[in-house]
Amino acid sequence: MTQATSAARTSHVAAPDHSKANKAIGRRNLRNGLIFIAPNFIGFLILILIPVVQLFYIGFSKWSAFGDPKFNGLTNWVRLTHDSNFQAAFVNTIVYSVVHIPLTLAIAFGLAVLLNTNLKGRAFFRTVAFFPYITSIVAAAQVWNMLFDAKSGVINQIIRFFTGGAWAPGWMGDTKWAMVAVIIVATWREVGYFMILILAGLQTIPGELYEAASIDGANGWQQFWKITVPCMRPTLFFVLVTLTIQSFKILDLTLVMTNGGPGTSTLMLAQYIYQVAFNRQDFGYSGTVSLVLFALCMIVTLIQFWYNNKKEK
Amino acid sequence: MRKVSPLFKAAAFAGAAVMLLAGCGSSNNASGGKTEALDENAKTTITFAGWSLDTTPEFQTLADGFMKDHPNITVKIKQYSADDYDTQLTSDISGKSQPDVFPIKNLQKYYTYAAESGGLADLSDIAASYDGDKNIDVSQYKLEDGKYYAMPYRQDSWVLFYNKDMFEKAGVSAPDGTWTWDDYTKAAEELKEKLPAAGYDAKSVYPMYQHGWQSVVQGFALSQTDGAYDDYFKGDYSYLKPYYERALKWQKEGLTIDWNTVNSTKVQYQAQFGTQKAAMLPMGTWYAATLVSQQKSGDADTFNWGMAPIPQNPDAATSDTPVTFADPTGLAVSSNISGQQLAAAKEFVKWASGEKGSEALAKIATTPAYFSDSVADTYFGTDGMANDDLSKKAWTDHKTNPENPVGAGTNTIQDVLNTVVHSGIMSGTSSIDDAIAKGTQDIKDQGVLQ
Amino acid sequence: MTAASITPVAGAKSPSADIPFNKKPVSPVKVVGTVIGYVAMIAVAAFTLLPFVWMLLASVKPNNEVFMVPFKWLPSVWHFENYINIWTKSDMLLWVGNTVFFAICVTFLQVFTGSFAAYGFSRIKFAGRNTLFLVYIATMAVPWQSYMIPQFKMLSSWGLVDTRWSIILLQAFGAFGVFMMKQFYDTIPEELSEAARLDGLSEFGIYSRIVLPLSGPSIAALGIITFTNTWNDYMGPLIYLRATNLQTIQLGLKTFISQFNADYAMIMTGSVLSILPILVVFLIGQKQFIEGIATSGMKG
Repeated sequence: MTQATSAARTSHVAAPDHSKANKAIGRRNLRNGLIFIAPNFIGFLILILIPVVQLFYIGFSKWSAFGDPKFNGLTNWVRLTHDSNFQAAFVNTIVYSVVHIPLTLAIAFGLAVLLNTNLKGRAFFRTVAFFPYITSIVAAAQVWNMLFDAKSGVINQIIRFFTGGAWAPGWMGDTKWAMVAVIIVATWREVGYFMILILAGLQTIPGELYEAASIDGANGWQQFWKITVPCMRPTLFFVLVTLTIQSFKILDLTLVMTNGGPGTSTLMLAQYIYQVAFNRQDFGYSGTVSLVLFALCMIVTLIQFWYNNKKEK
Repeated sequence: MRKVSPLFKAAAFAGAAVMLLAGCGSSNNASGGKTEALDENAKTTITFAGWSLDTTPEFQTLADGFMKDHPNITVKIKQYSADDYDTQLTSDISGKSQPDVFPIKNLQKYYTYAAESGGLADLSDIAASYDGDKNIDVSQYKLEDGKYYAMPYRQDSWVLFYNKDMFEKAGVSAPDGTWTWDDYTKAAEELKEKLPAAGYDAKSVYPMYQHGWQSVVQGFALSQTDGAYDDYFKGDYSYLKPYYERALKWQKEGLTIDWNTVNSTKVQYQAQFGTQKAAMLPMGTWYAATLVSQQKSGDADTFNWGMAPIPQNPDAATSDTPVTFADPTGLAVSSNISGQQLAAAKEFVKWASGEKGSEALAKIATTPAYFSDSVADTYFGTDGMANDDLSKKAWTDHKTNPENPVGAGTNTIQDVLNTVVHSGIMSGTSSIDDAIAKGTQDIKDQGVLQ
Repeated sequence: MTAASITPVAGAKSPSADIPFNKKPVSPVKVVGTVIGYVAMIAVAAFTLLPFVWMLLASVKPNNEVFMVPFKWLPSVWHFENYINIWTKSDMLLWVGNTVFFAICVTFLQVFTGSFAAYGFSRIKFAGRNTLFLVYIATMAVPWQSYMIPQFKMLSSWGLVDTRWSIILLQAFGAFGVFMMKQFYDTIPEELSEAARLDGLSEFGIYSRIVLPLSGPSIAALGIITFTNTWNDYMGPLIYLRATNLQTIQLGLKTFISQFNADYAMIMTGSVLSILPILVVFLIGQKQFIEGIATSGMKG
């Protein structure tokens, strides 16, 4: 409803017949807008945007981090086409994200809705859910590796109980199952983080809306679908975009848990970017891979934007 | 059309900014010229990088010793991370904010720093002062242009640590200094059989502990195979094969913990050897000091141990001097400084790499690069150190080849040999031949071979 | 029309909207269901906390037992004195102090500038708004490790490396806070500010009197997350800080790792201690979450 109102206002502003008044409104809006944005934008422009933009040059250069990058056209991009590690990392990152994003979103949303009720002890459960995010990643990797141990791990003991002892996955030592393990741990780790964001969104919905709906005789489910879901659209959109970008950029978890292995089975783009830059001192090529990762994120994000706008109109 | 426009504008904006920035990089070459003579009376302060200062006393030891000899020079230590030192140093040099004196941790990145960064000062005059001195070898820092950009202050080497008590109780003959890797395997098999009878838990105690690092296999293969250093830059890595065959055999026979476990559970070699879970451990001489202090603190059990020369390549001609490997740890000077500061920084490097620095290091049981008899006496005189003749021989008498050959592309080759070859073979995800073939291809694709 | 006016309404509603499974009249089936539900949740919670429990136990182990093979939960000797020794063996107090300073500065700047800018993006229709917003989001899609060297060179040329400013400037202006707050403001019905606009309130008045009071939970969430991320950040301080008196907690804990050895028991001790401030912030932030609004569909 928010967007509908503002969209109506925009079209009104853009109408040609009130051009003078509109110009004044436009100027006032521009001035007000810039005043609000300035404190953040100045810092953002100088400290983040300028370095980021340089990447678009570095990705087309040869650079060892020392001195200035030397433009080398498409050389780096040609290298991408026959770099099997890059290709493995590309596929791994997509596989990881395709499973991790919906899984995390669904669990985090369910958890947030549950912990937004009058459930007794909800403050405790919220804190518990946030704990994986603040637990030392080294400790987390250690315990999960123990749980996933192919021979003696608790997880495989349970699986063997159901398969009659015949079969259990090899997890960390197996090129196919290592990714599954990584996804499980990543989801465990991040659910609480996104739950907090969703919870904040749920809390921002004004209570009056529910009150009015109750008076109109809407039951819980109707309220959920008619109020909670539409009001949550901006928040869910934000969570989805952030989750998507974070998933594509996953680095520290696999670095500590598997270091990309076994083989290249859990090597992710972000780790490859780091490795090529800082281990091989090849910042130019690393920049090229970063641009691929950037393009990947942006394509998905723009689709999400487009879909979100379409839904809102 | 309306939908596209913000994106288009964003792209245009980005493009404009690129143009703006591409032109404004600054280039400022390393300061050349002569070094002023050091004026002992001038008050000078130099900064010095060290990692994990609380747990690594060597940096403070060097700074204190030097300041005592040169009262007007102040050495100010900056704290770096031991794990991510190269990441920090790369940023520093890139931003021209490197400290005046800084360690070069190993040879893997030395070439990049020395030949490509322009951030290191020429130390050839210090190298010249060591001409004809048999106690120190600085040749590993010599570049193609004949110049030196770092001086070694620490030179560890890989030896075989062994638990004398475990060998004795099991009734297996201990290393005698003539072992090849085949003898090592035989001893391990014998230990495997006899240790349980000697009262050691068969499930958790192993004859040997092979740590997960690439150097544990590749360092020996490279240093003990004839011609391997040439093959390394030519892209022929077949010299690795026999060493990997042995490593896999040990793993398969249960002579050591398997690599996947080592890798995923962060097994500490100090814990394995220190709590008598392994009878033999190939490791760098730096471990001796740790073991001594852990036995004192109770982190390690109390037992008799010794160092033996590292086992030799069974397929190569034997020589009297055992061949082992390890990179020196060096000190470099920033190219951003000049005048008295540069003179003081160079004096510090000279002091630290020379006999006085070595004595100070040997006192804290750190293996220095300058190896005189009195340094050896100081080292073995430290409390709790193994001091049988074989240990002394292992520590002093060996030919130490570099772990990382110095040349353009070392970074990349070493990284591929680690991530593709070592992890591929040891995790069991690819065969030795496949992994070596894939690694070779990857290295060729990076365009770094000579 | 402030948060204060919403809370009582919600509060008044809460008695009738009790836990989903627990509505009157109580039937035995529901009681059993509630019990099973709670047992399941507590089991999941315990499982979730397992790595933390290991961390606690590792912090009182002898160092060589931390990564023991085969895996062991309990220490052979309990070294509770680790929690005392860490304050004397290291500069823990200094690290905590520095980190608190950074986390508070960054959180304040991020929340303040972020929510301010978000209002501009959410509520004021100005030319180029969407483009600019897209640029913000786009920077989030670039991995930091790929532009940190250019950024470092820039800050280095201004002489800010190895100063407190570097960390604060580095972290305070990220796109995350702007994006997050903008989306939350979009949730607040436009009608509220429209009415105020007709009453002659300026944009700043609308922001401070209407929108801001309604965004307590989202500011709390942004605060918690920014604080946690700054607190736990390792790479930022790693790249920018060298002086021993500027070390942060994550950087400091790494000094227990030397080139060939590591004191993992101490690292775990420090990690346990470093969770406490985050928990405090989390609990304070959570207080902002309005208690008792029944927005759930589960009671249908």
